[in-house]
Amino acid sequence: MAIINTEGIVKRYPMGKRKFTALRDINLEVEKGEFTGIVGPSGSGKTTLLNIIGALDHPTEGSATVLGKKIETLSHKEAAELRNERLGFIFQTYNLLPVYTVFENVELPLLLLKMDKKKRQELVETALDRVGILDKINSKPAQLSGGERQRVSVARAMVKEPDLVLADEPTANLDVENSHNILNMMLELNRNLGTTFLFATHDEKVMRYLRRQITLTDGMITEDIEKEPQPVQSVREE
Amino acid sequence: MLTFKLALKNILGAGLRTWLNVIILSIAFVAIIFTQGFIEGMGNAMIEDMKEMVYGGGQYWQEDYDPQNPLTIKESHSKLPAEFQKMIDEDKMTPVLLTTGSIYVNGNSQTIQIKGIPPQQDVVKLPTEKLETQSEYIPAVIGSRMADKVNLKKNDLATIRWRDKNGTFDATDIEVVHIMHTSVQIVDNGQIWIPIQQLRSMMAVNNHATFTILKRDIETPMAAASGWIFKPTDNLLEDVIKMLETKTSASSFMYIVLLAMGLLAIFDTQVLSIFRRKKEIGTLIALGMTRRKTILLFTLEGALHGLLGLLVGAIYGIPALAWIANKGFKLPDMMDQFGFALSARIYPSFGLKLLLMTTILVLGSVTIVSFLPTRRIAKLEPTDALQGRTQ
Repeated sequence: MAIINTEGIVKRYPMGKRKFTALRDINLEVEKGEFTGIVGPSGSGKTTLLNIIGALDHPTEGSATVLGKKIETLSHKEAAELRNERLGFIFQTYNLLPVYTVFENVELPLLLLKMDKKKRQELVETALDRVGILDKINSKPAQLSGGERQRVSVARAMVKEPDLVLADEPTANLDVENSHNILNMMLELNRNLGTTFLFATHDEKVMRYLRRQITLTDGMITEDIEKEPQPVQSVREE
Repeated sequence: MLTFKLALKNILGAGLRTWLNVIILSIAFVAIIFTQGFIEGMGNAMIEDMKEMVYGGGQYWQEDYDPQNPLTIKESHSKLPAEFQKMIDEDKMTPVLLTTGSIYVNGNSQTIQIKGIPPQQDVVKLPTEKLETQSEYIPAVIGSRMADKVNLKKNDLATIRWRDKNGTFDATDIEVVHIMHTSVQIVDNGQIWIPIQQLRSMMAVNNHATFTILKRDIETPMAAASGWIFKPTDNLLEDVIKMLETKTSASSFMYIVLLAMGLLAIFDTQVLSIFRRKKEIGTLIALGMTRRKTILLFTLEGALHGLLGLLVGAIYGIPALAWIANKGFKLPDMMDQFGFALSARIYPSFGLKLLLMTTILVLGSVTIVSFLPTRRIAKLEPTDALQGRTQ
């Protein structure tokens, strides 16, 4: 069953007196449990498409249905509910809140879900354990390396076990070793928990892990292929 | 509750920036309470002194008496009614007879009011017992301002001139038996106090008075007596209270400046915070926080500065203000020239109303100032916020 379904999505931005078309006639279906990437060069519209699917933006034309919700008809509050309850986000720059500890950063989505303290504690520890960073539970983001911060970011996205995780260039700021570690971890979470991952990336390393690769060029889908992932277990393999 | 916890965590996590704002706000808060309490204390002291020295529990004025019209003063006296005499005998009231005249000292003359009062009276705290001093001349008590103005010292002699009941000028010598130091200028400037019997004799009137002063603790004074009008203290103090209100309005300027100083710091912090924390705002929205809650979070952060400012202000302000309220505050002598009848020491009054009003005002204005910049969040596109982009 498709959890993402877009029909003829067009996105235009005002640019001075003219309008820039970032997406043109995007028709896409993503099934539950996929490990899919939208790939393409900078400016091809990957992040724009991811933002629309993440209910952070609206299409100018067309329709996007995500987890049964029509994005273009959602109010701010409904969009917030969808993100809060069913979506997880991983950002290129981690976007951790600097004054919170690792625990508090990961706990935040659960607080927004109004979960009780005991349950929160349990889920946060499980999520941090899964990404292998439980020993840094009381550290502040500034005390962590880039790889560790991205692990926290993954834990924050996964802690509520969402239906869909949207990852925008998750390895862009990481070195090769950390990139593979993070990607292996995501692949494992996808296999074990059945969580759907959708990436926006132009990183070759990420592409090796994808089971489906959708190529965007100038805002249009130019290729949509299914493939066998080729994960790198150790950096030396590469 | 969640938003409150997050806001508290955020501002405590901001470290020095928060504490600088909190300290500025706490100083503004304490300074506002101090200045307002000081003005209120000054007003209370002034009113209290005036009641003690001249207004007592109210006055009965002879029906023609109008202190604003000096030309009628000489005629505005009449015989005391029997009910007044009874109260005077019971020491519940004291009569004052008043006429105008001139004083001659070292070849200079000055218009004065000559006031007669019983030396043994105990109704007001004028040092009238000094008028019982034995002297060849008429014993007189004057205030220190009057003494400075006409250059008189204790035991000096001066000549006073007045018109008797037939309108003929008459003159006699007085001896200054006491110079009183009082904060109440209306019993001092341009006045001399002599025994009432002497003045009655000088004016050739029997048992007359211009006004009488009621003792303060008389609970139910007579509404009026024939030919006399009762003036309650509120009525007598009307001009003073109006003047105090003017002074309070003037002090509001200081109030506004102090508050504006604190509010400016908060406004600046909020504007900067929203500008610098765009990515954080975008992240919170991406994690599922509604815009309304995000606005509430940032507004609460600002408002919490106010709350912490009050708490920090209370920590050092309560002991400091309590100490000042207890020990009082000595004013320089020159303050007397500014039109206030000032006591030597002012005891600021920090009432519950002042504390509550200031707390509500500080918290309310800080919250409003904190909210204003957060309205930008409502216009912020989450996608731009996530990139930390300015729109």
